[in-house]
Amino acid sequence: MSENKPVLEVRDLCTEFNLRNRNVYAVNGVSFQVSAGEIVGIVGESGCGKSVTCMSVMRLLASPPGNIKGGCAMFRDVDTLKEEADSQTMRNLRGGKIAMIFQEPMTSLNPVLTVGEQISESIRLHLKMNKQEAKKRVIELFKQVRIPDAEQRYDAYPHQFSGGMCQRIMIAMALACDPELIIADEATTALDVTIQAQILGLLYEIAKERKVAIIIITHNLGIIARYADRIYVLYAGRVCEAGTAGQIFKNPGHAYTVGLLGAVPRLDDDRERALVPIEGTPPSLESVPEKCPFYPRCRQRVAACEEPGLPQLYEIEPGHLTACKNNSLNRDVNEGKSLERVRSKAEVLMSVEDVSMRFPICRGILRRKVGEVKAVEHVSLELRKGMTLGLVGESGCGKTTLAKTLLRLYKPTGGRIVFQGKDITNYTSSQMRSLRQDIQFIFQDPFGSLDPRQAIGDIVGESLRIHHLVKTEKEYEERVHELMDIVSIPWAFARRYPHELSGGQRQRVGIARALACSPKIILCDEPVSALDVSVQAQVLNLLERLQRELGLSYIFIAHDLSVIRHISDEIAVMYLGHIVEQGSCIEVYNHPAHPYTRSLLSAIPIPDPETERARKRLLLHGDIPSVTEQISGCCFHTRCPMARPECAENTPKPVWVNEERTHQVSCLLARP
Amino acid sequence: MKKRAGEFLSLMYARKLVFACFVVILLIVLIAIFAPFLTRHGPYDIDLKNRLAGCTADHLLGTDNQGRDLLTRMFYGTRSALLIAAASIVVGGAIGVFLGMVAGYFGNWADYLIMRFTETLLAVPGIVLSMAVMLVLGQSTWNLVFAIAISTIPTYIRVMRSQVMSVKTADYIASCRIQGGTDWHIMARHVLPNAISPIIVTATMNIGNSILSEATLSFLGLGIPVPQAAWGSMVSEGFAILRSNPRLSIVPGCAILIVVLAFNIFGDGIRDILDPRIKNNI
Repeated sequence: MSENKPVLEVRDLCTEFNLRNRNVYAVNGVSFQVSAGEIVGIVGESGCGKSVTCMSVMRLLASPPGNIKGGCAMFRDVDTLKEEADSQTMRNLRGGKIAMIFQEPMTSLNPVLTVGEQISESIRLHLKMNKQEAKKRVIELFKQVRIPDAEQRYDAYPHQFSGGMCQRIMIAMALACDPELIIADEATTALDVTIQAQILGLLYEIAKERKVAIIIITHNLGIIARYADRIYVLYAGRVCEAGTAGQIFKNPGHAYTVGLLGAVPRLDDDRERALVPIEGTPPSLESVPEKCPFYPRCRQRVAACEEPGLPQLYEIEPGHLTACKNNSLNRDVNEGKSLERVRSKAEVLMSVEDVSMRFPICRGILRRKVGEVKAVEHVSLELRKGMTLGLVGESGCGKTTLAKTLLRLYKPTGGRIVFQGKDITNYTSSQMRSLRQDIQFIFQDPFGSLDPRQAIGDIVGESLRIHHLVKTEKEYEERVHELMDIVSIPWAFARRYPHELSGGQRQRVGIARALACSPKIILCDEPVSALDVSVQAQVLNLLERLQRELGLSYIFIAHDLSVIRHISDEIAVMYLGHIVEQGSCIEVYNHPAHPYTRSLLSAIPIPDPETERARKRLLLHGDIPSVTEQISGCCFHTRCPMARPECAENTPKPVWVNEERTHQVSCLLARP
Repeated sequence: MKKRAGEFLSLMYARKLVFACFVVILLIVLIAIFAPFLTRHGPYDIDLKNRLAGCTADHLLGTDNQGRDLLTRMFYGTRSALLIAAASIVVGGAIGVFLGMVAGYFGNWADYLIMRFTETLLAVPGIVLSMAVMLVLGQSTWNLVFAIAISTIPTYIRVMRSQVMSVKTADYIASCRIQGGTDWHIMARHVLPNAISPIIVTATMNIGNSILSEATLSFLGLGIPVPQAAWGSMVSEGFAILRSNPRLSIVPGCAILIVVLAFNIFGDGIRDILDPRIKNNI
């Protein structure tokens, strides 16, 4: 395909932002190209310039503060960088020849227009069709992106669709005028894994069948490995490596790529592999770097890296370029280290017996109860001392509600929660207050969970004061100092405010806060999902180290099965408030018994194209039903690829899968 | 902190009108503080021989119908206007912020009670409410402060309540609860500091209105007790002889106009400067 003239060719793009008191050099000489029918992946951490690159090419960059300094972007015969941002040519290109799909499907659609109107609008604009023709075309497009009942859905409003369906509509809109290039900017990041697999599969088919060029921008290496033909790895506004998916994953040519691959847990990893984080944080780009921008964080720097001058891309094998000056890279991501895990049957610290949490839906003036949200249904779990219980499931399956119920922020509507032999189900809030020391929580969002008006030191030490755990001011300072040491936050940060810290540092402050009053259990609600992959590994390693040193027990909630697999001893898979499968981590991953677990596992891409292509897939169809719906029988039967008629009638009971009784599944089709 | 103050001033300087108002306010505050040093006359010095005198070197703005120096009384009037306005803002703000926080944080019946109370206050026009309070409580400086404050309370309650309702859903509030913090601890340490900035803007914008209320009440004879200098009562005193001596009403009237305008424009400016969405577009 490379002998064809590329659809888009970008050379030496430079973009900077002129802010009021500083300049940020976001993109510094990025070159790439994409041909018809090819899927190109642009991968990098947040702030590396992926989106700015594409926005510059599309001339969608807000200016000021954005400012394109140089380079050219040839789309067919038009250099988009030479055109006026608002010129007729650019407006014809955007939405006509180049289409874009954004991250947030819900906010990219106008909520007051029907979806059909929104798409037909651009069709009428670009293809000069009349209303009837446009409508026909929209319905045709809806069918192509597999929206069920396309004719009826034409007049629906965006809020009547789920996130995955909205993204399909966005794709339909992108396809509306037969574009030659589609840019998908983190298009599936906000979606659940099973939906993500559907959407990416759809894009893949479009590229291959219609010969459309597609650029996938993402931070997820797995997605790239599965779907991209060629990959550009961006770091600090520069391409640091480019090549085919096979070349990059099998034979990474840049220290940064090697670092990234070592930092992410993989589904096919040896579970004992210790993650190797990339230390430090990406550069702030307030000046154009003088040498390799990755130099300060690089573990494999050589003498040549010291020389001034930005490293240029050079070819190490046909079609594989790198900007790394170290030509004898150690590509072994494991670095020979492995984790020691203590595996013994410890005492049960917390047990959850048949807990349900339902929220009433009230309507009307009299607030009459018209229905129920069954957020958590008949959940039974056991957490043992020093162990990690992984809780996994797609969004809306009740993971967070379950966690909040365990913390007794909600009072469960059924069942029992026993903590250290005491039934805490009916504790009052003042009784709970003394228990709060023992059960702590780490939040998903490192930005929202720290009070912006409190200094870091006060945030960390707050609970010491609440529970009167320290007697003197000196003792307090020592303890805060110690806590900040544990999570490796410099002592000087104690007087700073949360907005001065990076995401990873904030998350570590959150961990220090949770540790302050020496808890026994920490509930971690997606603690790493908002972080960049290199930082993710730092936080995961910290959590594991703390568990070893302090004997903590974790309940670890995540939607990322690779992370859960890496950190958990036991896992529980949740679907629509039910636990469909639970057991020891190795058992569940090696012999998944529930069709939902199997499809979840197959939806997770592995960052290795060869393994990835050889895997068998179990694709789920349709969306997750709403929690207010009444589903008879097995909660999963509406989406289950193996469902039989009896699944809709009988509710499955948990049964043991193996003889050691370490693996339990709730499925009518499972044979004990 | 020093850096932020400098940034604030430079932002304000970028908006000429706001900055001009800031200068006017600064000038008025200085006049209020140094009133005794700015004139040779006292505010109560009656000089019956010199009644209704015109502008002379000794009396720059002339004298009123009891021979008191008009300019001196204007200066002292600044004091009462600013003091009453500031005190009523503090009193009204404190009560409103507390009630609004309780309503927003606890919700349920506390919210219900406080909001019905707010609506009751809102149902009566502010100035009528203040007049009623003054008539019931009798004329004194503190009663006046309370009377003006009570008409501003609903605004603070509503602003604070909506702020608190959005702040209380933040993760750091849940986090403090998980740490074991009591409701009052959470409210004082986390909710209040995070919800207060719109209140500060509202308060700045309210100063002008409070000065106006004070002037209105004084004009009606329900404000500051008589011999004391107040712009409102000065307008009212000059009102009877408006045709022959318009100066006596027009000068304090203009003062009220300028000060109220200055505070309102300044308040608007502060709101815009503090609003991060507008901040970058200057």
